[in-house]
Amino acid sequence: MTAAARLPRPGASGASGFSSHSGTSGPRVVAGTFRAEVLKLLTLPALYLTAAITWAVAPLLAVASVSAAAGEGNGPGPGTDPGLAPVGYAQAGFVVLGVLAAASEYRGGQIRTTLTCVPRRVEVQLAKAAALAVTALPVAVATAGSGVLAARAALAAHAPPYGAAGPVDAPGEVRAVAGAAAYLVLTALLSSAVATLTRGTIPAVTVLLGHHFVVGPYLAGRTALTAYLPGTAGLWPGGGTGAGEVLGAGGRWAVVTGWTVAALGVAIVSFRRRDA
Amino acid sequence: MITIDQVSKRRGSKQILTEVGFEARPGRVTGFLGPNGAGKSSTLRILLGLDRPDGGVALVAGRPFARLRRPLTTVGAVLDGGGAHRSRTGRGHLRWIAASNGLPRARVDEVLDLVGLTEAAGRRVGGYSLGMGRRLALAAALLGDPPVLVLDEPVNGLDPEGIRRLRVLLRDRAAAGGTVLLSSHLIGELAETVDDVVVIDRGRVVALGTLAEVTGAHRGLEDAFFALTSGTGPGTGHGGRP
Repeated sequence: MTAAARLPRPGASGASGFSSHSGTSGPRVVAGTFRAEVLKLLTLPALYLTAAITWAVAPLLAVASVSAAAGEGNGPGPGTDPGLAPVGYAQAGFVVLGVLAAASEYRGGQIRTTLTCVPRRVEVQLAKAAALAVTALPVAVATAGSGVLAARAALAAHAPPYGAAGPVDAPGEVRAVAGAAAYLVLTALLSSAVATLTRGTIPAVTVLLGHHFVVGPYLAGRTALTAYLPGTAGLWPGGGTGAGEVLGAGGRWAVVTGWTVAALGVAIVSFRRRDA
Repeated sequence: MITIDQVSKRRGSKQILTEVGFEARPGRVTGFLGPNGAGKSSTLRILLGLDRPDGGVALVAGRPFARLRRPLTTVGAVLDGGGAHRSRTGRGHLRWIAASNGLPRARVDEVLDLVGLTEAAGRRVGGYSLGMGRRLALAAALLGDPPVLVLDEPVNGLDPEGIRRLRVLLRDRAAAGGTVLLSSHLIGELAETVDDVVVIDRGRVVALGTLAEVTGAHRGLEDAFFALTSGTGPGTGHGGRP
């Protein structure tokens, strides 16, 4: 007997009977929580717009960075992939993505609807993080991948020594794209944690972009401590220079992952305690 | 069945609820009355596990709300503010709610029809009128066909036809054995709908009982209400505090 069979017919305002207080099994209940969070993200127009802009701008920046490097006669330096140069900028898109995903709960009092559907607050936040990771991953792969492809095309258009004279290092590029995509997903998760704490879009975006693009770069030349900040350490964990002089690739991954996990942890503790 | 027992709540230095206690029973519509700011919404938010009380317990069907595995099949709630993101469609809003409790997707169209929102289901919530927003919230509350309904100021923003339909719906739910608790500061709208009355003022329950008991020797529920609360009574215009 299904629940639907006992629900009142459309048009009949009364109830012939009520749902049972079914004690369904844990995994199915949690799966419902996760599905709801994915559905929420997939029905927010602002997220599509942000993803589309982020993805569209990445190849343009990749081409621009190749041209700039070739024009200056520097060429792409060792250890840097010009296709991944735009990842630094693409992270702005993933900051907005993560912030919008989390802060949207606080528009129209939706958070109260969420908690009257699923009162288990830790479960709600874990489902949110999982849903964001799952939906942000394809966008991150597309963004990093299209950057690399565009850069390769642009390199081919330039004469050697800056052109694509050597054999294409396919496994290396796949690794680089995977690393950049993972970094972008972590950026979205960290940003969603900050927005869960601020409960608003503007303060979270201000803090995060201010850190990633103003404070971080400003401090970068002045103190070695910036190696341990999420944005600058993350530029970019897959390879590259800058903060990487202090930390190895593994260390940089640990820093970025650590910040993300810590921020999510603080957000969950706060969310669990406060009144909704 | 709803049980509120000795619930107290402070916010900052202000005591907003003091040992609030009452029951809402199956088969009856219970009206939770009080002036604005008396503590109605605060009580309902504690009942629904949104806010944490400093003391006391609030139970639905004998359990704290947070212990319900699939709450929508036990309690439907309509809270002030609608609870929907404005850039999602009405149907999109109901679909994630249904998914969260493992309810069949077909149920979304049923409740849309039930509240008369089928035509507007594909439109964004931001374009809804106040009344449509309230009806969407009611649709969400009915998704799981719960035996308990909790409604905070449900008639706000509804047109006369909407109020009539809501009244019929609530009476029918109670007649089928459901528990209905609704708060309101509009006493007139309530008098014809409720069986039991709880009056709250400045965070304390000042009267409770059947409609007849609470009305008592007064001419009507409205007179009783103003006599019981700090409202200044009809004639002064606003019913506000002195």
